[in-house]
Amino acid sequence: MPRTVLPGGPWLGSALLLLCGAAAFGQIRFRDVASAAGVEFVLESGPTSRKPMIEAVAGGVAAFDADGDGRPDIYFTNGAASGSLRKQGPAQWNRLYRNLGRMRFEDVTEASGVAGRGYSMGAAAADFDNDGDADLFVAGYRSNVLYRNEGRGEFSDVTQAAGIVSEAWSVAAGWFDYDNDGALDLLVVNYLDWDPADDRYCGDRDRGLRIYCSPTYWPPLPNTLYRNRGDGTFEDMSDASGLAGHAGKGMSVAFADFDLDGWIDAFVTNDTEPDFLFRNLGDGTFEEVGLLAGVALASDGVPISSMGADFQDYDNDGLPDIHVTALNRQTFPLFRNQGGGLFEDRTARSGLHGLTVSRSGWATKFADFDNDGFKDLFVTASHVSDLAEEFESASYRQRNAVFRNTGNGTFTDVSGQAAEFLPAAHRGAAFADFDGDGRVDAVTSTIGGSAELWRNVSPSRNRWVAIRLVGTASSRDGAGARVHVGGQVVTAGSSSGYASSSLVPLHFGLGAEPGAASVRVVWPSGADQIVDLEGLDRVVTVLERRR
Amino acid sequence: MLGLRPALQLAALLLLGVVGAGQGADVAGLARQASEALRARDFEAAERLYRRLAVLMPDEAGIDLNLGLALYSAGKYDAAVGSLGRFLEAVPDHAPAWLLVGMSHQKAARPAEAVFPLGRAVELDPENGVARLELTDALLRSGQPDRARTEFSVLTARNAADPKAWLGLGLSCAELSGRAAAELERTAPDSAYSRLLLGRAAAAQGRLRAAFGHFRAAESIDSEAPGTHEAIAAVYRASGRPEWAAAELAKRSAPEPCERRLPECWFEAGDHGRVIEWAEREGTPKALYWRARAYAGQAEAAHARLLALPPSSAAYQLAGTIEDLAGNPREAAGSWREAVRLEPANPNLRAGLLRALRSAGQDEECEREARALLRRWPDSSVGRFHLGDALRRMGRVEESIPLLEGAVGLSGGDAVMRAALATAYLAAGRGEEAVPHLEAALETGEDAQLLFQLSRAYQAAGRREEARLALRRRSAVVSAGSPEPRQGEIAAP
Repeated sequence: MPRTVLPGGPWLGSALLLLCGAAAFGQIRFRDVASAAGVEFVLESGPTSRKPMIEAVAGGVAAFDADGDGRPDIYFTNGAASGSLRKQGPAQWNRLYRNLGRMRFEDVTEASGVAGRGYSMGAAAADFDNDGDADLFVAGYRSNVLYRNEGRGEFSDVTQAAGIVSEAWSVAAGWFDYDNDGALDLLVVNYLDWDPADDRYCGDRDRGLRIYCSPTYWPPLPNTLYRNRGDGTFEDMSDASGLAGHAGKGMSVAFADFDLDGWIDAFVTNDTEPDFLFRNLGDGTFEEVGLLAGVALASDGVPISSMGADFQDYDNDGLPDIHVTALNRQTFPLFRNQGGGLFEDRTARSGLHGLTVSRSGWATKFADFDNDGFKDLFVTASHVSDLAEEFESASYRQRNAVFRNTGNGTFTDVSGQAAEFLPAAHRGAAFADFDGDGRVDAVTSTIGGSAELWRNVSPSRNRWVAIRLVGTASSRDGAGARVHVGGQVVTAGSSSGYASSSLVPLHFGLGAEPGAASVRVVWPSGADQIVDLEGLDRVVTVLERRR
Repeated sequence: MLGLRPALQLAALLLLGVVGAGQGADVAGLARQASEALRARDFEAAERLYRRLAVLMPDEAGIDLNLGLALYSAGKYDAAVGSLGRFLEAVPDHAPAWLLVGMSHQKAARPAEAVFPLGRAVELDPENGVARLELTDALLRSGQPDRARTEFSVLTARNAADPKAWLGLGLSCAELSGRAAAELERTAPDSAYSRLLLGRAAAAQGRLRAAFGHFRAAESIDSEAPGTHEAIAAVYRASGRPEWAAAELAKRSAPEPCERRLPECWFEAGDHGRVIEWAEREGTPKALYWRARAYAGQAEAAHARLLALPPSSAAYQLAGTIEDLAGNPREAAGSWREAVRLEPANPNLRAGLLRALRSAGQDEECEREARALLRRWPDSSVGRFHLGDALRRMGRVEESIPLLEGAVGLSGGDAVMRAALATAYLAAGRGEEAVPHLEAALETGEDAQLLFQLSRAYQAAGRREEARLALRRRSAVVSAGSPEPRQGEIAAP
């Protein structure tokens, strides 16, 4: 075989190789391809001079395979007319974009029947009826909707039949199997006891500056837990489970079995109130342990405006950790799971304090964007107040951020070199390998602006594998399963970030020379399964073996 | 506060005594050099020279006085107190030395410790306006507003053009008003008078619906509660409903003769002193209400006098304080900046600016200002605290810890500084070290934030049961908090 001789002699070749090597490790690159991809969604919050706060907190996004073609599609929730809280035309519809492949999308909202009603906020995708296709729950202001996927991407509204009609203001929701019966249950995150007729004035009358009021003016609401009966209907277990006893101002939810007792737990962010960590006691009830575990508040003990959250293992010690976004000056706390039911606030020691103290965040996601074996962070950013500049040292429109996990417990800000992020009123985000190239992409929503579709173009030669779970005794999605590849663990489930959902194969970056040759799945059913990986850089389906 | 110029004049007088002692040419030369160093504001050199003189003349008490002055001028307040203390053991009736001791405590943010030496200075030299002003300031800042009010009244009577005296008088009265209101809230929370005061406070902050709710509640408890209709009418006007205001005022019954409306009538006539005199004799909710309002009226009057004088640091200090209280830290910082510009040598004004910057989240400017303060007063616990806390808030926790440790040490264990240090320890993963500071900070009262931190610190120390107990205490504090009831609309009369 003839050797390739590089012009310029062997030294230049070595230099190029070194450069390539440097590029392969530690570079994260994104490029916004929304417009070219045909994703032209604008989040219409229905802004008015009355400044009802609902306008400020819209924007959930979902990534899931709506039509069963193996490619993740994108669903955006949308607002409504601020006064009536009704959608008054196509500009306020929720939107479903079908992935055509090669990073091209088409709007299939009408044909799919998912335009929604009312003021929509959050999206949660999962196969709740275990029929093999992904269904969708949309949270909103007194307008929660459950869409059942009838196949090939057509949906029907089964809210009434399922028995989950709600009069609450719900911002987010998440699917999980809290009783390990193989049928996915639904936790709906409720925000405030607020009425649109409540025309409270907040701001500075003298300067004519009206702003969105703080949620502190309205009473909190408890969350709602619906148990899936397995026949298409649900039973409200909020009281029986103990959840109803804890009223918060809920914004988002993420799930993981933090104490490794085999029962999935729930972390709920609250706006200006301590966050909740609902420990699943395994008997149908939950104990709220956020304060005792050390995740309800950051280490200074002051409640913050917690927005989004993710609940995954960032330090590869096998224990799920928690990351939370909040407003500027509050930092985005990072809670490291120490085991024994306790967490420690690692915000400062991880470097995230300094990186986030001047930012305001919404969505957050642990994902390995450079496939180096360590989960990085992607955060969408914006202040909640569109007049922030008038009242404090902060900007309303902010740039999204990417924090690279260095592998030694710290994060570095690589936002500047990662992408040409522009300031905007960013909100929700979903994450998936939309183009199937082995790199995790991101899609984000923006109030009053175009959605952004961030194609991951990181120049990495690292290897990867994605695991698609197919449960049998467990839920079809395998939600709650703990998937081990090498030293990494990912908890299966779709809830993460701010009011958003990503129901996609579980992605593992493996570095340049991976040693892992197998995947271990600990299913919610209790099945503990090891599957040899016959190749890398591909999606591997793991079918739950019946015990 | 005593400025640099009078301080140097004082030093020159003191030096005469030392040189006059005639200890020889070397000593006289050193004394002269020390005096020149002071005049040249080279305080480090002055300190060095006086320390040498102290070795040469160990029995000469005057050296300790001069050394104390040099240390004070160099911003080394703790060392100054020590040196001046030695002098006062030998010469106990020396008014300027007591004044310097008191001012050292004042500048080190220890007003309670400043009261006694400043009191002695005033006792020994009753005509010294600087000493009296410092004493009143220390009284006010150490929680003795009643005595402060008396002393400030003396000062305003002596010099009606003194802005600091008017400021101090106003702040003392405001503090006394707040205390009466707090006592009313504590002893008779369900009385019409309590609701009236809460309503007035809410209205002053622009929380019109809350104000409206309180006023209507007061009316339902006691339909004759004074000024209720007027207060409600004011809310209507502020909400853009003048026709409702007129209807509300029409509901008033015909006014009673003045002598049957006491002390309301005195209050309306602006005779706040008489109202206070009457209220001090009574222990009723009505008396507490009028005491609170009369002191507030006196505070307003004093501040009006201050604002009528030419612009001064005191006037900006007042504006900064009011903006602080109104929750406008950015505006407060602007006022404090002006105050500092007019009186850069006053560390209390710089402390006010730092507090406002901290509240406004302007951490970078806070860092700059704290560093500037520390350059001038290296031993300032306030400077170290604000620098350390700003660094902590910016995520530079490891840098912040030595500064906060220094602030706690210099302040003698200030609770706020201890709490900030504990927060830094927790953020740095040194929770066990936070325990004693949090326990000490909590001695000043239960606090939900500190109790959560204490729980985390106990967890870090492996003291699980105590961690649970701390959370139970936190729950009790949170439950005891009385969040404002949900407010309805501002309805028609």
